[in-house]
Amino acid sequence: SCLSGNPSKPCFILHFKGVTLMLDCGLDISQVLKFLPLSVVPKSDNYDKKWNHSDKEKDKILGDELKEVAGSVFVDGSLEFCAPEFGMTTLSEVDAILLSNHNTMLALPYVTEYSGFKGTVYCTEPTQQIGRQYMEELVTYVERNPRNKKCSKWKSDAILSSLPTFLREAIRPTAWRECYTKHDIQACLSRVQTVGYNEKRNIYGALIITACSSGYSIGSCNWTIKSPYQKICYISGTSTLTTHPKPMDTEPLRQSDLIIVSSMTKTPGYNPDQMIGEFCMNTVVTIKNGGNVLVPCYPSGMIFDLFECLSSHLDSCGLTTVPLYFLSPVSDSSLAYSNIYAEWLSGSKQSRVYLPEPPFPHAELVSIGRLRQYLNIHDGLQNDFKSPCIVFAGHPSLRMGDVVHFIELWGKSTGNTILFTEPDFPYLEALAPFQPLQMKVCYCPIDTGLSFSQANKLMRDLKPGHLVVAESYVQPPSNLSHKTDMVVDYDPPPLTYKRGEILTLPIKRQFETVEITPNLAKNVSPVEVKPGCMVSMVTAALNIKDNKYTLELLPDGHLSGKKRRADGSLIREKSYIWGSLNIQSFVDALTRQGITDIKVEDTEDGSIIDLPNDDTLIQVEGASTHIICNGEEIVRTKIRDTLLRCLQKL
Amino acid sequence: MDTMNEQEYCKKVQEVFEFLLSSSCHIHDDTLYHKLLDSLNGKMIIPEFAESCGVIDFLQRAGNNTDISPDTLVFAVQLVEKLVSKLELPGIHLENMSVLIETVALRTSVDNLSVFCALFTTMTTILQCPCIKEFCLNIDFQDILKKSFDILKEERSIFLSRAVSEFICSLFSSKMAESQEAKKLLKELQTIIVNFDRDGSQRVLSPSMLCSLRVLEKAPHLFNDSFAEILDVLIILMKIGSTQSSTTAARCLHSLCLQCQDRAKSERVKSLVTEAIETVDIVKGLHIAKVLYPLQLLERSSLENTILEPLQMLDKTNHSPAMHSSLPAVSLSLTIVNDCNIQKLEACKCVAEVLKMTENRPDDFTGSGCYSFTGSSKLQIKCLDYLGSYTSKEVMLSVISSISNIVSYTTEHMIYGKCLLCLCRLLPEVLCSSCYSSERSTVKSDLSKIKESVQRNFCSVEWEFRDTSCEFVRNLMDKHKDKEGVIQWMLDSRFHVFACQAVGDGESYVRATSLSTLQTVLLSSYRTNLLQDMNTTIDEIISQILDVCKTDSEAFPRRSAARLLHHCLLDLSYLLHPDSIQCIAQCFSTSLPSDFDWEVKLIVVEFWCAILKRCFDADLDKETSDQPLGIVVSLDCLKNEKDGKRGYVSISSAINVLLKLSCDYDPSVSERVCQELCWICETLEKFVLKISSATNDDNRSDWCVCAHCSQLITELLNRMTEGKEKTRNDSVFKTDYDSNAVSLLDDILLLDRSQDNNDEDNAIDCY
Repeated sequence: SCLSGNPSKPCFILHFKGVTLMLDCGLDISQVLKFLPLSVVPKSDNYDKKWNHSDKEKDKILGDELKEVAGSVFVDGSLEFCAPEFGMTTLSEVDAILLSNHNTMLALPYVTEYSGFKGTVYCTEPTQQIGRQYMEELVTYVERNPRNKKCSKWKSDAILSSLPTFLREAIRPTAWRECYTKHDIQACLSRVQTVGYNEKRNIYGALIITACSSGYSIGSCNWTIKSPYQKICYISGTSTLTTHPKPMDTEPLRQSDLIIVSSMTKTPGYNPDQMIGEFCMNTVVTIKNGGNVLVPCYPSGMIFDLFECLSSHLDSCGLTTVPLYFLSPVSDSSLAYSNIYAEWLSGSKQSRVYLPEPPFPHAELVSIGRLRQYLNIHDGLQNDFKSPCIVFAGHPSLRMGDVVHFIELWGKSTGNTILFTEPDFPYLEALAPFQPLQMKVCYCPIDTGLSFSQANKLMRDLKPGHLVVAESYVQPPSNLSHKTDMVVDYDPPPLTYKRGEILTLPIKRQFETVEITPNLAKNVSPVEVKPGCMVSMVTAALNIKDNKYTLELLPDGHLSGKKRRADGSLIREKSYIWGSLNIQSFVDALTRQGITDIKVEDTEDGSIIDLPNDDTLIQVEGASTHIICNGEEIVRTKIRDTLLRCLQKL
Repeated sequence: MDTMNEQEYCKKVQEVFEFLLSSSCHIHDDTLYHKLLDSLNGKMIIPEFAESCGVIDFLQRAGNNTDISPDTLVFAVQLVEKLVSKLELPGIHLENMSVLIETVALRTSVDNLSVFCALFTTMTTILQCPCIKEFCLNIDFQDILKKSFDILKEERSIFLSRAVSEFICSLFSSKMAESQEAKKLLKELQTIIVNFDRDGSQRVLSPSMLCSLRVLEKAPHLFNDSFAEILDVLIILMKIGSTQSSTTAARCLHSLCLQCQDRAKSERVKSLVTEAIETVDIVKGLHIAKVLYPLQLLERSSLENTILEPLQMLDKTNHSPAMHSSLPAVSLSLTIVNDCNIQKLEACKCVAEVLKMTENRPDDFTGSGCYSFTGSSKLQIKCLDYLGSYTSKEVMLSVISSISNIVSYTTEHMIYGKCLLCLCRLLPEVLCSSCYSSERSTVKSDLSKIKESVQRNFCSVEWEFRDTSCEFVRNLMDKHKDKEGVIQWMLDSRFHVFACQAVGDGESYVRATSLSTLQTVLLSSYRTNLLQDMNTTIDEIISQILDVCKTDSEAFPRRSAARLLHHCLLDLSYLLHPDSIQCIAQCFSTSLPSDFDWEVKLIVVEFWCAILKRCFDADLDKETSDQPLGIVVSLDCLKNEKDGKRGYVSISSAINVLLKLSCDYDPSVSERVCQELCWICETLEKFVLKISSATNDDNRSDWCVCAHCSQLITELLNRMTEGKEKTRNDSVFKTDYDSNAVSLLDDILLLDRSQDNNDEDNAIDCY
């Protein structure tokens, strides 16, 4: 089942071998763009122009829920998020949740705290910690400058359909939920069991799950879900580029029956390397022109690469004294954690630890005071602030966080620049409530996720039996419709998923492993039916526990050795014959039984034995023997008994 | 070389020759042969010396020695070439040498390619010597010619064929051209041309055919007898031959036409060539036009039509994608337009049109146009090359528009640089044009787009882009410093600030270019704008530059910084604070003379020489000059310090630095100093005399340098004499072998001895 409408914030339910797994638990935050920003320093004059509905009745119902800013209409209420379609499944029946990276776990508290979920959450330790930072940052932003008014009147179908397009296209706004709390985060993450790369975890004896490096971010992983006879892989947030995390490990993903792919790049038309170059160039141009640079960002991930590339480029351009300010409620823990996860980093970063040096250069930038981190703008920033400077601040949606303050502060000056690097939000929509804006806007989205060509190459290499991808991945992106190569192309054609859809995966369980207890094994007398293959009749009790099958001796009351039906009545014991018939022996045996004038004729599939005196024809083929006689019972019995004697028996 | 050395040299040369003639001679490093050849060539000024060294004897024995190694044989043949072309050898010696040549020609297997290459190269040289006839008396010239012709026909190595071909061509311009042997060969060459396979099966020319055509091209008058047949062949060659054959034929036709006295014949050649060009395919036609355009065989206008045809066709077809196949033709056409320098409006329009077609990003399929041309850097380079040297007014705005698009995305710094060069050329006219002032024109937005792109490239992650951007500013300042509009546009775009901020760039080349640009800006009248825009003072800049001189790890920036300080002190001293002047002088006295880079030290030499010249000029001309130069004012301010300390910018400091550098370990530096010391000594003597005769004692005592002058002059004279001697002996370009010819001989003989020991390991170690 696909619970999420955004393949970059995936959430799936996988029923496999009786186990119910949730794969990722992403939260689509893009709906916050419909809301007015939460100002750090509230100003009364900014967003107070009420939007008037043309229909007076509806306008009356709406009240002052909607505000108009620069020609666009926004909801003036507390921020709400579009959680996955949890209603599609009973979350209390979910046995385990597998999380791939910090980007795909922000809806987790909604599952663990509000749904009766009783299972276990698995992820790597860095994913847990970075995910915690992301959640805490989100909650802090929402709670710090709360807008307590909850708006829901605009969501009613009657009104929604008459609103401007921007609001009208909102997906199921009635299902949107308010943000969880810090307590929820604590409680939710306490259920997490951390795993290391390539560490095997058993899920109720039915499945073995393993996380393997996906190269996307610190601790990001792909999952392999194995039963003894099937293997499913889940690829989410994967990068084949060389950045700071440990490179992608493809080996565990090979020989799989099926691969589910999600979280490919959101910006297939932009090359990440070029975008980093653009980002650096635009930053330096602004600084050299005496302006300030604002970079809306998340508190972790790509920002570490940006610090590294930008500081080195600033050095190249002789701007060694330009300060970098990093503002986030979790900025301290983000920078600190990044430098202690050496084993989750790329080889070059790991090798720095042995020098010993911190793996990331931002540690040095912090130590020399060039990079300064603050929890918020009131955390001493005003004492150190020096212009021109580069400010990294959240949230990339521009609806909350300190970034809102800086846009309001710097937006009127043409010398300043806002540089968008996070691809999660359409930047023009994000900027809409701040219009008219004088500051320069640059869009350099950096998404290291798999591009279509990389994904196709990877799949050609991994050769899964089947491929399952988002519906949007099999058609070119809407803004690049002429780029017909920007699709996932695979043979057999990939199965596709979309929000709210249930897919039956083409995996058939054919075999199961069953163990035999030693006591039972003692009584078994196997017969070799072909070299290396022994067969035996067993009468035993099948015990199923934790999805493990065991054959045990029958309980004492049933030790008669007689097979019984379900109603307790005895089944007549019979032997099972096997092996192929030796025609000559059979003919000899028939002769010994007094049957004369036997004629044997070889056919394509076997032989036909003709007994003209008894008016009988015996047709012997590879897997069947037909005896056609004239109904004389004595002859039939004689032939039957002779035939059985010529075959082996169990 | 004195007599003693001469004797030793001759003795050693003889030993070397013995070694070379021995069967055990194995010299793996053939550069030793070349060096020996050069050494002997330098020494052999008179025939007698060649004799006393045993050269003649060596050549005689080399001819008779069947065991001689091929390399030594090549050496011997080359030695003959040097001796015959350089010396007036007596007949007996010439005979010995001709015997060697004949022996080599007859006895050596043609498979020995290097020997035969040397043989024919030598013969080519000797053919042009005055003694050629005498030389040929003793050889079977007929046989050598036959051999050469056979080699051509056998199509052996390309090098050998080329040497033989050169020899044959040279024959017909030598005194031997009239010989019977040469005439016979000529007939054979004519036959080769006339009998050329006309059915088209032979598209690539054989070496013998090529040789025949070369002779035809060089001496067409020799082929007058068979004019009609040859003309026929050449026209066929043009039509059906490969590109190389066609162009060779075109050159021959041109030669044929040039020497043709008969007007009717000449006209026939032209009409046939014109017809051939129209018949052949477009690419071959272009190649032929390329050859013929500078030769003026045909009307240039008709050739221009041929050359521009692929470009004009594109225009007419409105960039149809169907013209994909014409990409090579368009590319070739652009090459020819560039090579032939066709600076005409029609050509310019075509080139601008092609540039327009390439201006979008390579992956941009949105615009209309020929997709295979979109973003083609190959075409862009050719177009920009052309437009960088000539752009007509009619297409100027279109070119600016294309440039604005290309610079916004190109990832090739070469294209970016060419765009900026082109822009630099066009800017004055664009900014003065009526379109620029028109509100409806797009040129303003194009220039604004260019401004943004250049600003971004000043901050590019690739240093080449940053460097090219800095260079652009310097070009603008250099070329258009008197064009106010251009400079104002540059200042408005803040390029000067960006360029000068790059002094702290991470890449040394960019730092160097930035410093050079800074120098240009500071020395211009726009320095005030720079200082204002950068919110700094000239003294702060000087301090920054001094840091570069002292701390930069790379030589390029230090060179540029030293040059900048040099010019600042000479030309802007009146703007500098005395402390800055003192720091600069101190830097030129202490840090820079000890720099590791020889060019920096040369700049130091230039600096102090310029200072001295200024000082001398100013003080010697004091009687006539009321307003001494700024530097002298500054000098005065230093020399008049009451505490008796001598200023850093003083004659004595200058001379002390120069004296120190005259002993520099780098010969380029010491040589240069010694050259400069000559005029300094002369001037200083005059200067001392003038000061000594001055009546004003106070004035004299101010010049604390005077106390040292006589001492300095003596020291200078000594150093100058030493320097001259040193210069004579040690040229910068001389190697150890050049200065000591015997050492080369010793080294060769050492090979002989090491051969005896057969110490293979050591031989390997030596390598």
